[in-house]
Amino acid sequence: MYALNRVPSGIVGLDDMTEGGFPFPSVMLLAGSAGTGKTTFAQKFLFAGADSGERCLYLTTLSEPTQWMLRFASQFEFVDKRHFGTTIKYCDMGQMIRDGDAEKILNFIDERVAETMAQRVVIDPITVVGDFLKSSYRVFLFDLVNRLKNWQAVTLLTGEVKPGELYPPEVAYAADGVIVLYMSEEDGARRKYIEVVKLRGTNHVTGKFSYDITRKEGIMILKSKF
Amino acid sequence: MFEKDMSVMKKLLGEIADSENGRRIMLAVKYNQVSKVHLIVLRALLEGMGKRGLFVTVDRPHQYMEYLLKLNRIDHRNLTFLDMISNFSGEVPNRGANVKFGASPFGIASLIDMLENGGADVEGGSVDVALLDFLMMDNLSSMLIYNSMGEVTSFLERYLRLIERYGTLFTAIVIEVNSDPKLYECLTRLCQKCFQFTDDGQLQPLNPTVPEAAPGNEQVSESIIIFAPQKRTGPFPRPSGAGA
Repeated sequence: MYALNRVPSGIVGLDDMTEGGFPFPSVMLLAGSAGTGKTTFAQKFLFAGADSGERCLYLTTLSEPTQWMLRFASQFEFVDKRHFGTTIKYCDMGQMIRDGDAEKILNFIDERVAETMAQRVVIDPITVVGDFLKSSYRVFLFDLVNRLKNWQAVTLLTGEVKPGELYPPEVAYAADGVIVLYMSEEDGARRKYIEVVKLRGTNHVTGKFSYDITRKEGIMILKSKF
Repeated sequence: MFEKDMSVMKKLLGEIADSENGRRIMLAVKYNQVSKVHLIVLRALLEGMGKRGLFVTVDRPHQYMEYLLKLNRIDHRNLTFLDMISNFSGEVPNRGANVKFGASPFGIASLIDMLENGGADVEGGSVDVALLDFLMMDNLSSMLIYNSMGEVTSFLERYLRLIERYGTLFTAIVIEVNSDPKLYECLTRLCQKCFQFTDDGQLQPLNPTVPEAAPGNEQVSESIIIFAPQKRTGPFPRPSGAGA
């Protein structure tokens, strides 16, 4: 049987649920509402790669300006600032997204991934792109996912969810894997849970696990299963 | 390409050139460094040695490698692509003058038939191996997705015989150690020198029998094996348990 290579996610406890990490290459969707830790997860994923010598690329769309995102991210202990702009390249796609030209967006991403030869890529968040596109969002997602895999990288697309939605379905169909972060109000407190909903080629653990966001590790999965 | 990549290329060129009677070199590469090492090997062959070659793509459409060659300003006028995968990629193939398309990655025997017989049934014109200096495949292990182990082994045997027949032909074969440890074992037995491409971009000597090089080790999960021209004597060492 052809065996898939796997990339460690960098998230404490997650690789135990996914047979050792994300398939390489692959495109993963990380879905969650505001405050669940999508950007923290994405940063930890990139810094884990950069710490082990991989090249990384962080593309921001229209969510949080890069300068502010980095200011907050720098509070985490796992953030080694020597990676800023060197092993991890940051690129703002805001203007490109506003123009809404799918082919230009795809070509722009191609160029950035190829010139950095990134092995880990984050697009944060992907869901806003659909709001601005002048052409089919589904076709865009198909082309995006296909191209990203052919560049030989593991890409994490973050996705914002609407109220009542578990994950953005159009992205989930295109992605190789779907990880959901969500919050649940229990006994007057909001608890955070993570669930691997889909992961192609992987006998992954199902069910929701509680997690914490810590200054040292970023996202950390707690072992108790609910 | 970075300065340290250039120094790796020079070291590689030195190893290949230091081969009056041919040289078989294995580069152990982490799976996520393969594109980079592809570029280093192609630059060494195309620019460093002025060779003319064919790059067979079975893992991903040729346009990705072509794009990287352009981006890194590697002169690839003497490189032709034989793209076996684009018809299944869901993309619009980039049809250039130096690209030929095979029907599919299934039936690996037809690929070697084509190379042996001058490229019949290839969209975009024939491929005359006699006019080439090197053959390269982006990832032999990907063939295991579409073909049996026995078929891939048989292909490899005929492929290496083809290289020998022409005498002047180089080849670089990429295999994923984790995916096919038997092929890896078989090929490393043919290699005279082994190097490891490290995370920090260095080329260091490697003994393939040491535990660090064992199949399953992430650091050497992929290997690029370069066969410089040499007449091999003796039978091809078939991997154990490889059925037809």
